[in-house]
Amino acid sequence: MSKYLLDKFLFTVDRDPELVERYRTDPVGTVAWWEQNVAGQLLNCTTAERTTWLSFTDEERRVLQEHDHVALFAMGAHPFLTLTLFIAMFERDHGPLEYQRAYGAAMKHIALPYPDIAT
Amino acid sequence: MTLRGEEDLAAHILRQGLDRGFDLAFSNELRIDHSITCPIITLRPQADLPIVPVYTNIFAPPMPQPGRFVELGRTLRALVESWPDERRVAIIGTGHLSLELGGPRQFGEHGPDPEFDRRAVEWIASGDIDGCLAEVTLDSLHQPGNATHGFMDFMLMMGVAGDGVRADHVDTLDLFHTMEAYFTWYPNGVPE
Repeated sequence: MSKYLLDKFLFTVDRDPELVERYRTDPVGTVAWWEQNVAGQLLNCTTAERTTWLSFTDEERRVLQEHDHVALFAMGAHPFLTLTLFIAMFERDHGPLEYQRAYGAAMKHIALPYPDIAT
Repeated sequence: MTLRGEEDLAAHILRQGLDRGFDLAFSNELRIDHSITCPIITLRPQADLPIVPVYTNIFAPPMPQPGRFVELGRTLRALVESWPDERRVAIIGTGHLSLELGGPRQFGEHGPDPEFDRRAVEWIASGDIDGCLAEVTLDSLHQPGNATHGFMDFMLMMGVAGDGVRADHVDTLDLFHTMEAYFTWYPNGVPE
């Protein structure tokens, strides 16, 4: 399990508008591409070196492929990273605050304490 | 838009802050966010005064303890007062009360924990640092809402204002999603 790698996915995708759109329209393909090309990148470092010790579990890969923000929360992905990326993808198809409210309503069953988000 | 930095004061705070036990970092270029632009828009829309943005980590664990924020506030005040320059300096802090982002309690009709908000406003308005520190911990701040750690920046401002110093101006707006609260202290008395 790697909360850090989930956060790295959410962070790097959210910062690239083209990648946000790719992830919205082709999540399975984008996750596969990202694992191949970005997961190993050491951010802000030379691309000649890559980290090799991080990888998604099958379950982590599945929730990213299925845009499952509730499961991401349960896994301890940083909720702000998830929220900002998902708003960037899906707010466009909803009325004012409609998506944000539905996003919260889908999590109504989650009680305190929330999952630990420390990486 | 570009807001000019006051590099001399920034350098003073950085050097003296390091020497007083705060391991501050700095950046030669900074994209400022709503924590800086909102108070500028509200307080000085001309945006014609130089600024020294100071950011704290209220976002990614591990975070400093609440008491550390109070201590940083006290230190910032001391450093501003020891700055060898005659210009007036306003210390502006931005934080928030109970808040939830990315969780089940987000975007409600009011803040996620109005009772916490009521008590927090009282702590700040009365300068009750001890009372606040007795109740607020890194763990307890999860209860009012998962983004409530931003309250620690209000605690920083309590440190700036000083123990037991009542705010000269207190205003709260019970808005959608989160309560907004405004506090002002005038160290030399309320201007005429």
